[in-house]
Parts: sequence; C-alpha cells; structure tokens
Amino acid sequence: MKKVLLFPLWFFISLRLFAQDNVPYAEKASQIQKDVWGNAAPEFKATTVPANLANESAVVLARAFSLQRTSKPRLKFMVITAGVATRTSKLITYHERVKINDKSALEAFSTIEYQKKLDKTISFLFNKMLNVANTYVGVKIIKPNGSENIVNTGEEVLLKNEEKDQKGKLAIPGLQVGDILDYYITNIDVTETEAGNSFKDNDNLFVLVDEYPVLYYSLDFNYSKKIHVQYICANGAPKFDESNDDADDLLMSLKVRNLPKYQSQLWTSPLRQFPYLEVGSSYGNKFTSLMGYDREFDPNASRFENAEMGFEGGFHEYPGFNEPEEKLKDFFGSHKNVKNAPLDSLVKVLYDEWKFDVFCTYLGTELQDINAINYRSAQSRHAALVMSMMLIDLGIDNSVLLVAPRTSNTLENVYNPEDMDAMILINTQIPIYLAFDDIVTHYNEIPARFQGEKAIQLIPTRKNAQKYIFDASEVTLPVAPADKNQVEENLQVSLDPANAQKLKIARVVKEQGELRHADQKLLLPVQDIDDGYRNMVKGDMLEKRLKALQETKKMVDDYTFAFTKQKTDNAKNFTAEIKDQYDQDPEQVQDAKIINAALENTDPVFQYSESFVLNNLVKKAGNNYIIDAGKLTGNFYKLEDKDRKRTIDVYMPCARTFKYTISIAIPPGYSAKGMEEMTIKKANKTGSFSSSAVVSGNNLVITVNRVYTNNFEKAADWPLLTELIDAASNFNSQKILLEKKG
Amino acid sequence: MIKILTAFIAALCCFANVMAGAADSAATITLAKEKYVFTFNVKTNSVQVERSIDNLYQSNAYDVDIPIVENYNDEVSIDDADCKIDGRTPKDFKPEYSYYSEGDIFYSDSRICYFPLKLPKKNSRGEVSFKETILDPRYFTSAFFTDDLPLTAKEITFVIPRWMKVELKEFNFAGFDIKKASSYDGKMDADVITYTAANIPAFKTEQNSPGPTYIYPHIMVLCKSAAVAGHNFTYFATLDDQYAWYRDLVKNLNNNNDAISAKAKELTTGLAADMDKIKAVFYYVQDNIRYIAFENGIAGFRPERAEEVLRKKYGDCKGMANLTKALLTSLGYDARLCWLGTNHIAYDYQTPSMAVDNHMICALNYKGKITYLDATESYLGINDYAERIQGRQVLMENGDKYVLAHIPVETSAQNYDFETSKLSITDNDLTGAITHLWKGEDKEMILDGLNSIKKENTEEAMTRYLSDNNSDYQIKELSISNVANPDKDVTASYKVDIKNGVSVFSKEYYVDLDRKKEFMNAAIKTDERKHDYWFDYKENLCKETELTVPPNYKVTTLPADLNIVNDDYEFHLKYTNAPGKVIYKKNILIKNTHLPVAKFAAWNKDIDQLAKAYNETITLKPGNE
Repeated sequence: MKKVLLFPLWFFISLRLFAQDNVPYAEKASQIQKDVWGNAAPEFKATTVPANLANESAVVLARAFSLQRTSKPRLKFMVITAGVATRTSKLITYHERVKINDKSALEAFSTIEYQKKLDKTISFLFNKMLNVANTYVGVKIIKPNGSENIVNTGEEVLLKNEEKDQKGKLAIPGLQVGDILDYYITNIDVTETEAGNSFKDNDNLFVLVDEYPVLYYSLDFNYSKKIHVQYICANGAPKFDESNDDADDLLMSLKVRNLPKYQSQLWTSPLRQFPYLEVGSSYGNKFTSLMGYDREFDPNASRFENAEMGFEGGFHEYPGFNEPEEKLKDFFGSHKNVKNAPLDSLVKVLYDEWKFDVFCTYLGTELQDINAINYRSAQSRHAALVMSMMLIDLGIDNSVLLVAPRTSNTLENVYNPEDMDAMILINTQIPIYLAFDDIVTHYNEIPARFQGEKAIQLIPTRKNAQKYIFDASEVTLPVAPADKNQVEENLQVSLDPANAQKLKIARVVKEQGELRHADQKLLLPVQDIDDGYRNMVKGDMLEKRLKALQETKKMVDDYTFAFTKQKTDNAKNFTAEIKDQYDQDPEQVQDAKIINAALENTDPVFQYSESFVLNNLVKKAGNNYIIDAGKLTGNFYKLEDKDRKRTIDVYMPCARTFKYTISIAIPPGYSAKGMEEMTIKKANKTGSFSSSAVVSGNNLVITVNRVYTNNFEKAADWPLLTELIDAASNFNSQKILLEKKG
Repeated sequence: MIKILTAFIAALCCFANVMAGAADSAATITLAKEKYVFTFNVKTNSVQVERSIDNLYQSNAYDVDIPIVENYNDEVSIDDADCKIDGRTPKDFKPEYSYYSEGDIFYSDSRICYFPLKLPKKNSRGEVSFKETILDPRYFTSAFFTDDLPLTAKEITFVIPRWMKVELKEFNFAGFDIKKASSYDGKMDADVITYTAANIPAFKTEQNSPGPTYIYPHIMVLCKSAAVAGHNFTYFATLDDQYAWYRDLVKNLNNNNDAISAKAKELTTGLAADMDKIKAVFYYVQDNIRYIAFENGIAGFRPERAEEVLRKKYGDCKGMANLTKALLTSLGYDARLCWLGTNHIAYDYQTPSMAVDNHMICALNYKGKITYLDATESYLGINDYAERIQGRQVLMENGDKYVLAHIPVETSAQNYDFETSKLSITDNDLTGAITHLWKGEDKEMILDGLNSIKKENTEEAMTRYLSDNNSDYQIKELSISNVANPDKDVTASYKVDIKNGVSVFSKEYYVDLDRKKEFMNAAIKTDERKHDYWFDYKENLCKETELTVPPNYKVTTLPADLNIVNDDYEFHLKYTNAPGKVIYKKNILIKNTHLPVAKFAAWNKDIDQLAKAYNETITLKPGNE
C-alpha cells in the first residue's frame, strides 16, 4: 500500500515550472518568492524568543531546507545519430528566520553573497548540453512593532557580471538589532551533462547542532522515481518520514525542534558524537557507471557496502602496477634471493620500495610550495589495493582492512569511498600492519586515528589478472600503549650570566609513535627525508629519478637548488617549535640539529636538540630568584568550571606519555627551595601524573611524568581525567626559589 | 573612503607578502619603465593620460611563480597586457580580469588584471607590459618607485605637452639613488622629464608602519590645468579648484527633507539643552549606521543622500558625515561637511590633489566653537578625537568658499586606562576587589570588543581580557557600566581570586603585584624592522594596587622604583611601604605615537629596564625573623 502523501502537491510543484528554459529571471524570482513565503510552515510566523534564550546573540526561529530533484530523458542530435541525454533539474531552497539580538549577529547576517548565475552549457553542432545554475534571493525584515518590509534585492551589487557568470552580493538595508530577518536562497540547477551527477556531488550533510539555537528545523526532499537516493541517519539522528506521491516520486521529511547549540570541548569527534544526516542522490545511468562516477553496484545495499564493492572492483592488474615489486630483485641481488628472503624482510623492503616510489618521485609541481612536500599523504585505498596484489604475486597471504578514522564518521556511516581508508594486515605469528599514510609513517605502524577501530577484513583470492574474489570478516585494530607514543625532554637550565632574569636552556627532545609525526614533518628537511628513503632501498639518486620522467628531466638544477635552500630555511622551524611550546619568542636559538631522523621503524625515536634563551620565567626578589619551573614543561591547559561537566565521551588523539627531566643549575652561594610543592602524584585508571624535585649536587633536578592510558574514555570517567589535568595544571604553576645563602 | 589612484598601491598591499625580502627574494625586477603621456582625446574632448609599463624580471631561483596584478577601475582602463618568458609569449597566457575586494570596502569599481609570471629556471627572464589610459587627470595623483620585488633600475618618464600644466613634487628621495633629467621634445612640443632610480628595495609590510606616502620614494603629480584644441580645463590648480569640484558633488544632495526632519525630531524629543540634542543625533548615527562602503565610480567621492543612509542603516564615512550634518541642520544647527586625510597620508591641502584626503567627517559650529563629529569612530565620545585624525588639516565647507582648519591634538590624558586594586593574601592566592575606568580610545577599544562578541559570551570575553587570558585569575561579580553610552566613561568592578598569586617558601611570601606587565615584550627587532613604529594611539595607563600585609609579617624587600622619562614616553613603577600595606603604582604614558627608527635602540634599552623591573617581586617575611 502506498504511504499517505505527507505534503501537499504544491510544495514541490515549482520545479517543473522553473526547470523550463524560457521563463525570465525576474518572473521566476517573483514566483519563487510567492512560493517560499506563501507556503512556509507556521513556525515561520514566530516573532518571539523563549525567555531562556533572551541572552543569545541570535536565535533561529525557523529553518527549512528543501531539495527537489527530477530527471527525464532528452533527445539529442549528434553528428550522425541521435542519442538520449538525461536532463536533471534540482531545486534547493534554504529558508531561515532569525531574531537578531546583538551587533555581532547583525554583522553576521547583514550581507549575503551568492553565485547568481553560472552557465556551463556546452554547445556543439546542432546541440546544446545544458548546464545552468541560477540563484534567487528573497529578504524581508520584521520590525519589533510587527511591520514587515520586503527588501528590494535589486540593490544587490554584481561582483562579476558576465553573460554566463554572475556573482552577487547584497547588503541588507534597514536591518537593526532587535529585528527579525527572514530570508531564503533558492538554487535551480538544470543539467544535461554528467557533471555534478554523482552521489558525492549531491552529498548533503546536516549536523543537528548549530552555532545558534534553532527552534524549528525542517528537511524535505522530493526525488523523482528515476533518481537513486541513499541516506544515513547517524549517531541517533531521527529518521525521515518517507512516502510516495502519485507519480511515484520519493518524498522524505524530517522536522526537528530545539536544536542544541554547539559547545566546543576538549577531545571530541563531532561526526561520531553529534547526530547527523547525510543525503545524496544520483541518476546512475550506464554512462555514469562507466565513467566511474559513484558506481552503484547494488541499490539495495548500503553506501558502505557499495563502497566496499567498488573497492573490490578496483583489483585489476595494470601495466606497471608492481613496479616496487620489480625492484626487489635489485635489492636482494637475484630472484632466488627474493624467494629465499624471510617473509618480514621481504615485506619490509617491499613497503620501503613503495614508500620511496610514492614520496620520492617528483612530478615537477612540488617546487611551487616546497614546504608542502613533507605534508603529502598517500592515497590509502589505491595503495593498499596495489600492495595486496603485489603480495599475492609474491605468494604472501594478506588481507586488506577497510577502516574509518576515529576523527570522522564510523565505518557503518561511510557515505563516499573517501570516508574510509585501507591498510594491509599480514597475519603471521606476529601480525604485520602496512599503512599508507603520511610521509613519516613507519613499517608496521598503525596511524593513531585507526587504532581501536573496527575494520572490515577482506581476504583476496586471485582468479586472474582482472578478477579477484574476497572473503570478509571483521577485526579490531590494536591500540598502542601509552609508552609507545611518547615525548621525552631533557632540559639543562641555568640563569643567563648576562642577565639573571633570563634562562639559558639546552634542550634535547625524543619523540616516538604518534607524537613524533608533527615535529618530524616540521623539522626534517625535504632533502633528508629523500636521502633517508633512498638509502633504505639503495635507490636512484635524485638526478637520475628526475631525468627518468618527462615532466622533470630538465629540472635537476631546479630541485637541487630548491632542496638546498629549503634545508637552510628550515632552521627557522626550530624557533617556531620553541615558540609554540613555551608561548613566547625565544632568543639566541643556536645549535639546532636533528640527532636522529627516525625514518626507520628499527630506530623509531625522533630526536633533536637546540639551545635558546627564554625571558619572563624568572623573577628577582632582593638577592633571590624565583623560577617559574612548572612552565619549563611548556604551557598547559587549565580547565574552567564549564569544562568540568561533560556528557559526551572523550576521544583522545592517542594513549600517550610525556616525560620531562629538568636540571636547573643552582648558582654558587644559593640554595633551592620549593621542592616539596613540586612533589605531586595522582593516578587512576585513565592515567597518572607525577612530579618531584630533588637537589643533586649543584643542580635541582625536576622530573615530571604524565600518562594518558587510553585513547578513549567514557564521559562517566571524565572526572578521573580532570583529576590528572588539574594535577598537571597545578604543577604548571609551581615555582622554585633560589635563595642566597647567609 | 575615497579611492586614490596611486598606480600600484592596492596590488602591492594585496600581494606584497608573496615574495621574500630583498635579501633572499625569488626574483628581481632588473629594469622597470613607466611612462606617462598626457594626450588630448578628440573623440571625448578630454585630456587623458596614457600610461605604459614595461618591466623586466629575472628569477633568482627555480620555478618562480610571480603573481602579476594590475589595478584598474572606472577611471583607469587597461588597454593591453603582454607577457614574455625568455623571449616567448607563454602558450597559456591569458590575463584574467575580475572584481577586487579592497579592505573594508563592501563594493567598489576596483578591478584587477592578473596572471602568473612563471619563470622556470634560475636567471630566466620575464617581460611584462601594460598599456593603460587614465581617463581624467585628476585621478592621476602619484607614481611610486617601489615595487613588490627589489628593483635594480627604474625609469619614470613624464611627457607633458606645453598645453598641460602639471607640477611634479618629489617625496622621500633622501637615501635613494634617484636622478632627474629634463628635455624638450620639439615634435610633440612637450617637456620630457625622466627620473632614474637604482637599487630600490621591495615594498615591505610591517605592522604599525607609517603609510606608504611617508616611506617610499615617489612623485606626487599635481595636474593643474590644460588649454588644448580650443578647450580650457581646470583641474586642481589651486585648492579653490579642488574645493569647487568637491562642492559640486555635495551642493545638490538636498538633505532637507521630511524623513530627516522627522528623525531628528524623534531623536531629540524631550531634550531641552542644545548639547543634549547634538549628542543624541551624533550618538544615534554612531550606533545605528553600520559601516558598509560602496565606492564604485563617483560613489567614491559623492556622499550618499542622507535619507538613503537613514533608510539603509548603513553607509561609509561620507554617508555618515552627511547624515550627521543633515540631522543637525534640520534642527537649526550649523553643521558642515569636512574633507580630510587621516594620518595614513603624508600630505595636506597645501598640495591640492585627490591624494591628500581619504575621509569625511562633520563639523559643528556651536557658539563659535568647532567640534568635529566622526561617526565612524564607534563608541568614542563627542569631545574625543581618534589619533588618526588628530592634528590633521580639514577642508571645511563654507558655502561656495571653504575654511581650512586643524583638528586639535589631544594629549595622552584623553585616553585613560585606570585600575585600582585592593588585595590581600589568602594561602597562596591574592584575593580582593578591583575597579577599572576607561576613557577615550581605551574606552573605544573595550566597547568595540564587547560589541563584536556574541552577547552570551560577553562576560567570558571580558574576563579573558581583564585576566590577560590567565586562567589563574578568577573573576566574580563582574559589573560593567555604561557599555551603551559612549558619552560616559566605562567602568568595571569585580572580585578577584588570583590563584598561585603568591609564591610561598618556608612561610615567606613572594608577591608579584603586576599581572599584566604592559609593554614587557615591546622590544623592537631592530635586525628585522625597517620602518618607524607608530602606536595606535597615545596611552595613559595608571594602575594602583594596595596589598594588605598579613598580620605579623613585614616587608623585607621591595623592588626598586623605575622612572624613565623623555619627550616621547614615560615609565614609572613605584613601591611604597606604608603601615600595614604595600602600595604599587604604575604609570605608563605614550605621549608621542611616532617612534622613529633612530630611537629604537633607546626604546629597547628602556623596555629591557621595564621588563627587569616587572620581574621583581615583593618579599614578606614573618615579623619575628
């Protein structure tokens, strides 16, 4: 039985009129205005704000998003034959009614900028392939006395005014604090090309929290029967009411009231913790599939399942796919050696060859922003697929893990293929993980954002070069313990002889696991990483690699010069890191150097050192000195009262450990006081904090340890975490007195 | 407000930071040629200026990508753009022309022509040329030598027919290698004046710098008049001419109308005293008209009609000045429009030119006293003047004549940041009560900040400001007064608990009474900074803290006083040991907002002393020790 229609027909009737080619803009604008304001929900008549929201900067009294998408075939005459193109029309209206309560909101809402018209119609011979988008804006102001004033949108200015491309901007006249602003923006897209057809192109994400309180929010969709629709309701988001009209169009509707305001908090993962809806559509014809746009393998399967099928469908051996594998022979000396190599050695070298191939092959465009070279990332899905095929070719059983990062949606809520990543698992006695991520990811390192996550394990079997089949199961990725993600700092501190109110510091930093990545990318020169990966695989020198490619064969001097210069310029990044750590500009930064680049998992601790002078950490009291010793571990977050209550779980970046050993030279004739207050110890199931200070010879030695045991905590355990944070904050405020004896 | 045609400033401001400084710049302009030829256009019967630019670039690195940007607008057209790299036009050379959004201007006729100049190798050569027409000589006000890249050599040539009266005025040539040569071209019956400059460093953006007309070598072009082909043109030969042109823009604005009168009456209902009425009008415009500037074409010079500004509830400085004038005039007061240049501009009306002014305000002549009303300065009281207009010459309308006057220069007494604290020691904390008073531009800064924040966050924002973002500084019972009344000073009072405000070692108290330590990190990096430093406004900062000495304790060390006094600034820190209390007084005055490079070393030395003094604490010990 068909579901009862939930909306009157007129609600969506507009699109059929507006998708016609020959209606003038002004006429369309007028009709849209009548439709939007004439048929708005009763909530769009609201004029008052609940008393508990009176102090808000702005309150959204009502918001409505509606999308209508239709498709129909159109005959197109080609050179000899005729063909059918599909014309899809899309009408999207965003309508909002906002009470403006202060100048900040007045500033935010007083101007609108929009793409008024964009015509990318393609014309050839007798045909036009239509691709036009038009935008219509309507604004009215409701004054406190109830009078309504419709703004003349003809007062817009056109930032761009070409026949096919117009950009508009409107400063809303007459708007004041205390007014209600009621406006809409309607986009009508009509296209006969494939551009903008895929699910990804039509992906709409609605997170059900907002910058301002929202009293009423409606989402309405109308899709003609030929359009394929898929949506996700995540994290407890309410489901759509669905029905079909007489034409068998799909109607979806959702009304939500009293949307909460977004409050920023420490350590969250919004796409895991806030309800959201993701809705997309495609008209999915054969051409779309052929072009690889959102191939929808099974319209009855979920978006994730389709993404999984799409991933499996990518297992095709193409010429050159196994280049890293081909180089194994060069590395090991012979095919026989390759065959006889221990499995973990073989896999390690293959992984290194892949890394060298991906990160040390330059395409001629990198020099435009050389500092971005260290921030490139691999495309994990493609890399895992190719690696899996190579491993199978080597006779090494492996599985591919599909995983969603904990900083984003869950695996179940994957909508587009890009919402998930892939890794390799080789299930030997000690499992080997291969991740294809940033430039400094080690062999057998799982990126922190995947740790602890459920993954779909696909076990491939090769039928032939173009066909692989898969078994599937689930695994959960292990979580590295806190001591594997560690920062250890050793500081030698003394009063600057030239000015005892400044501190001279010699600092050695060791970082490993997740906590080394950021500083490695910042401090390692591009040249050093290139050399490091080249040495690992006995690879070709830069010059040879550049000459091997058409794009770069004449750019040897370019790259050599740029790499050398970047290495010199990179030195200032040490200063930037110190400034970030201590929240002040250091002076006299000297002897900054990398001790260990840690590009290999066999030598995984990134280590560097430097010396510098810091101001403002020493106060003089007569002949005595007070050192802000707690701040030598860097600035630390202090919780405010509003941070202490928490209802959402805690997504830490990773389990981690911080260790500091600070040795402060006690000047001759001085003694140190304040050690007792530096002795702090707190421990619970979420972690620990401990600090102590003892005099050892002529030095005061302070040791600090801070551990977060897990990468995830339930909200109920937040008080335990706050105990540790408070302990660390408390330490951060501690001082040491150097008192003149006698 | 008013657009100034300076030939390159906007593009420089947009892209100046793209290329590194002279020392390691990725490219150099080896030869730049600019030529200006005054011509008479027989079709339009107008004098125009043909401008040609021909620049040669050389790369100092590989794969250098220089964004070439050239401004134009309704008064300047780009007739041709060309580019060659190593002698050839790039295949993908396609200049783009688009709208350019300038600073806080909502919309203007400013456009840019842009394309990338990609120099592939070290020592690759690029050639860029533009041909432009300036449609009205009034809009041709200056030619600069500096560019966004270091210049090895630059020539600026003026071809001035004898029928054209132009004065060229040189600015900031001292310290630069610039030569001038003049000749006569008999064929054109024109004087040819060529300036040749060598080794000009690139434009450098530094915060709190003087405006470009103070710093960079340039030529001010004063187009006075022309007599050609039987036509006589008067541009700005004298200030009378300039005023006449401005007068023409404003005399028919017809501000007297019903809407304005009604509004003026509404604003002054129930008010008897003149000053109260005047304030009601001025503060209304200040508080209710948003700054949104439309500067397209003549709108860059002609004020918007007063009733339109009132209807739209937005306008720029011209619109706000005009509305202020119209409302006051409708009430019978003598209010006038004033043109002026802010302190961003080095010139005044001694050199009649559109380059000398960029702002408009209203002047009120009340019982012989002139008060200047600048409604763009939100939250500044009627008798206060912003630093940027103090001392500036104004061109005040006076019917068909004008009056030249100067805005008064205020002392640092106008701006006041005053705090009194009464604190006592509770365990490791300092607790007590604090009051604040802000006047002048300090008050404006506070109110501006408060009103730019969502109202539910106001208290949190104010707390962060008062505590200098120190979470140990906990504030309760915060009360702020007069936030909506710019006529009054703003005050705040609150109770404070400064956690860890006292360092305790073996019953000895070490107390730091100064949580904010203003100017502590104000040393100037003399190895990096090239230009003078201009403070935003004069400062008068006065803080007084009284600490109650706990019973049975005595003060054993007090930091030494600090007194640094000179014509430009003063730093005073003083500690006084009084019965049962210690009093700490801090007074910092910035009397002269201009700190020249020559005084940086002395400034740094004084800041060093200030920092050292700040980093000294009071020691209290038990009385029996």
